[in-house]
Amino acid sequence: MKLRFSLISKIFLPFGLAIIILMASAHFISIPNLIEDEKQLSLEQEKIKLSLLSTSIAADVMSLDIATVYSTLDQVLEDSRLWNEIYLVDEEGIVLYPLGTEIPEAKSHIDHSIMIENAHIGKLHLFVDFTIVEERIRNRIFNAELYVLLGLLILFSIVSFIQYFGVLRPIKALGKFAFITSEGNYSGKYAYKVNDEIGDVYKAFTFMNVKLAKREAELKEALSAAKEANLAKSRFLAAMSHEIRTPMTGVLGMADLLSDTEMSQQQKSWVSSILHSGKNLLGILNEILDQSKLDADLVEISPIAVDFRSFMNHSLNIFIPSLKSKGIGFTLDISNDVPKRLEFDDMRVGQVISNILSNAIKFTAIGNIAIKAWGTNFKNETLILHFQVTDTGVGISEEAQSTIFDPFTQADNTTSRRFGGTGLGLSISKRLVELMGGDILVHSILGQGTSFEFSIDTKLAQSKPIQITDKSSHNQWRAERPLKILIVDDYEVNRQLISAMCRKLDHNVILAEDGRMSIEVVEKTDDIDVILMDIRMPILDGLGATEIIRSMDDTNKASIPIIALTADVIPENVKHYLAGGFDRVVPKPIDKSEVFNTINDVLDEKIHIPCGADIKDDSSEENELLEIDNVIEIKNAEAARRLIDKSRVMLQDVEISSISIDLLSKSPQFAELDESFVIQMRDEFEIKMKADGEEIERLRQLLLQPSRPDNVAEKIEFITHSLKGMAPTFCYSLLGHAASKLNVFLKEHKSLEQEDVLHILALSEIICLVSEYKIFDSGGEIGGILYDALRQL
Amino acid sequence: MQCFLTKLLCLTLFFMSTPALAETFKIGIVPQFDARKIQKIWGPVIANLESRTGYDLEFIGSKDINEFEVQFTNGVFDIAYMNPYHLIVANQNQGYIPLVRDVGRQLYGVIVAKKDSPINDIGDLAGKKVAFPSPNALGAALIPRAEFENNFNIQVEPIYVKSHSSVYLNVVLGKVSAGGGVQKTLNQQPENIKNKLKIIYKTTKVSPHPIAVHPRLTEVSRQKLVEAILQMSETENGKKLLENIPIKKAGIAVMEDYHSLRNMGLEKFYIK
Repeated sequence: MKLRFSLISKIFLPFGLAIIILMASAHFISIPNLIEDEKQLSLEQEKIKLSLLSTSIAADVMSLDIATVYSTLDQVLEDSRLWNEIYLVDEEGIVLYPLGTEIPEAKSHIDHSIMIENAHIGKLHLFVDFTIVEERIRNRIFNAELYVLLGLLILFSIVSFIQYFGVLRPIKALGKFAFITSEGNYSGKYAYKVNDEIGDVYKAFTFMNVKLAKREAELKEALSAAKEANLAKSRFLAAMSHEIRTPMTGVLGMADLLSDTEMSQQQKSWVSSILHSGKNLLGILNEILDQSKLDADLVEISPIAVDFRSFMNHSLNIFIPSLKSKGIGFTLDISNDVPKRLEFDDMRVGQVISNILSNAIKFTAIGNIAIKAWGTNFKNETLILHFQVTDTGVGISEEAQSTIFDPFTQADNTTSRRFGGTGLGLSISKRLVELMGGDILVHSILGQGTSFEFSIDTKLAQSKPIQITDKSSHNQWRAERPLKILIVDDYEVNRQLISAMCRKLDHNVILAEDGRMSIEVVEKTDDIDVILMDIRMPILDGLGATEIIRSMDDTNKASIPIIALTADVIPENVKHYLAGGFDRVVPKPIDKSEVFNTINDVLDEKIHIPCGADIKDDSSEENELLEIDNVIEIKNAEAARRLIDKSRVMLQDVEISSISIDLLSKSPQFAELDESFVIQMRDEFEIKMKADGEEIERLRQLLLQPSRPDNVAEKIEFITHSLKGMAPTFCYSLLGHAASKLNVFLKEHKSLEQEDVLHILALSEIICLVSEYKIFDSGGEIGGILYDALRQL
Repeated sequence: MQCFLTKLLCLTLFFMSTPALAETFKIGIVPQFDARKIQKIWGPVIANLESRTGYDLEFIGSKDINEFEVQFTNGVFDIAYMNPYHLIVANQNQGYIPLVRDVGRQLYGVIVAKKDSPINDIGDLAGKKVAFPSPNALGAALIPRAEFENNFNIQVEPIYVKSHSSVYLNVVLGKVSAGGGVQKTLNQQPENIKNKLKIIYKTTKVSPHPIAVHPRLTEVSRQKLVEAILQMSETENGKKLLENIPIKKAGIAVMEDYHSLRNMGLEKFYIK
């Protein structure tokens, strides 16, 4: 422990030490000297007394009045506490007093001759007890010391008092003052007005406080200004994106309508370009809008009950076409511990998965993408839900990994040029995940692939999940019966777009440019089935108009279903609209399917039905695939085909060589064998391998023929069976894998479909290539590509 | 004589100026001891006598025996306690007569020598130093010296050491060959002194100290005093006070009790 010396102790310690030293030196040096001096003085006095005594008894001694002498001496001894013993010796040396004694020799004493007229008549010997003298002096000194100590104590108390009130307390107060200041209170009062050094410190402190207060006020002002500016920027961006989205809705809607008309091939291509570019632009706008809303804290997480597997299937469905077209393998693995029904914001989680997955697809040329979902930290009703998206794409450098979650950042500057995008997706994802109580992480090795992992807090759903509407948009709809629809929007393009959309299904459309007009229309017109109402309009906005309609006397008119069409779908506002009388809120840009489905909902009638002829075949296939609950695996023979072709091209420049004996010798099977024997074994295996490869090649050709012999598959199965066992022994691990895979496949597929044949052809081609080009071990770069191909099969 | 007359005059004047009841007598005590001791012994006795007789008894101090002798020779005291030889002298000079004495004992002198000394009888003392309290001490000096010369026919070198205690101490310390004392003072010595002494001779016994009065006192006064002393010795407290003097047993004293002294030839040794 570190000793702490208080200021008081620092002031008094030297003082106290000095006093102790002084007192000690006085006590142990000066006082004994003093006692000695006193003893000497006392001795002188006793000598004088003895001399007086001698004189007084001289006559009695002379006249031999010894009884009187005795009486005198007895009395003297009794009276004097100092005088221990007196001996009286006469001139003949006889001890006269006390009776019958001798003078002790060892003891020091004083003596005095008894003289009468210069005649020596005897001698007095006196033994003085100086212990009494000593004791007396000691008592006196002890008292003196006591008084000095008492005096010092009083002095100490007075000095302490002064030090405490004059120094210590002001310093402590100053400390407290500093503490209060550090808490941000600059107006703390410090009541010490004495003009001394501490007063100076106080003045400096007060001055500092004033300066600090001023500086902090400036900083606060600057911070507030900066926050205000940032908020203004966010609002501006949000407003701008909103303003741009509205006309974009028109552009896309019109282009969509246009695509349904009769056009030349060239025109169709142009319209398709408009749609494609427009959707891209809309995506970018949506991202900027999200980012702005996040900056302005306007994003709210609204968990709902969700059927998790169904949710995953729907979220991934839209990516199947792009995966297929790029020839990328894809697996979905949902751990069994993930409960069926969970509560989370499906929109936002879907958005995050979509962001990460679209990046994965974007940056993966060959290989596969795997999605995993699992749960941890199960507690009562809550758990943490984890998602992992792993790809075999270009990867992200370590340097870039640290910034990819920052807004407007991409792995490198060239990325945006090559792949496009705003660089906002991951930033938005990170912030959404954080809002949902989780975190997002990235692991990546440049050139090998990337893995994104994120988690969210979720809980078991208490209510039944809402059926996720199939978001796959259907271009073609038909109506069971015509409806009378009032469309209210101040923006003409939107009016036209929506009305065209509705008229196509033979609905009667009435248009109104603002809320006031819409009321007039409702008042004048009977039998309106549904109203599609914009919110932001001049003169009277959608909310005001709805309130007036709802308060109409005619109950039929007052209860007309009203659907809000708005780009403003912040949850808080949606609640506000629903409370204001709207039946439903449909976001802009307008999605045809959503509008028609919503009309079905509010009228509680299946009026709008998607046209079955327009549903694409492949999408039904995918749906089938995705119905597998926990695991989705898309095996892509096509992708494998391309990888095999790629490796075939690369193999043309490769020199064929046998496997080295050095490498073989490392294998435990050959470790202790004679080298020449190993060479012999190897050569024999390679000859067999080559022959097998050629045989498989021959059989493949047979498979391609329309009338293929029945036993081809069996023959291939037989060859692969022996190969899968021997190849790994001679370090042909890739060959072993391929043979094993083909062998297993053939065993499981006895009656071959067309697709199976393609699969067998691809696998057997890998075997042929490996055996022909002697691709041993893992096979280096080409081997890697072939392994990727194998994984697709 | 003039002095006596003056005193008488004073006395007369005193009586005239004071109430008749308070008759005043001067009392003198032989200074055998120091004044304090005498005061201590006699103070209570005098007070007792005053209350019994109704007289005012005024104690007249004496510096030493010499002054005491001068005083009684001049008839200063109305009442006096004195040694037997003083009584002989005072009787001859002023006519003092004894009233009361201790009738329980006789006064005699003792001669002591150091126990381990070769001196065993008076004959051994011829020409030796012998200590006496004072020349006129009756039992301790006068009688022995008279008997040394009259009965033993020896001469000694007398050394006067002022008190009986000094006599015994000088003997014990070997300063003298022997010393003269009385049985009573010898008995009073501390053991360590008594142990070292031996008595080699006891003198002829005489009656002890009388309380004498001047012949000017009336018979009534004399009788009153005698009765007071005798009554006092009857009481327990009074007996104790008298024993301190020492009068163990108070009785009537007459001049005839002291006649033997007159024939001892003490005058030769008495120093005036």
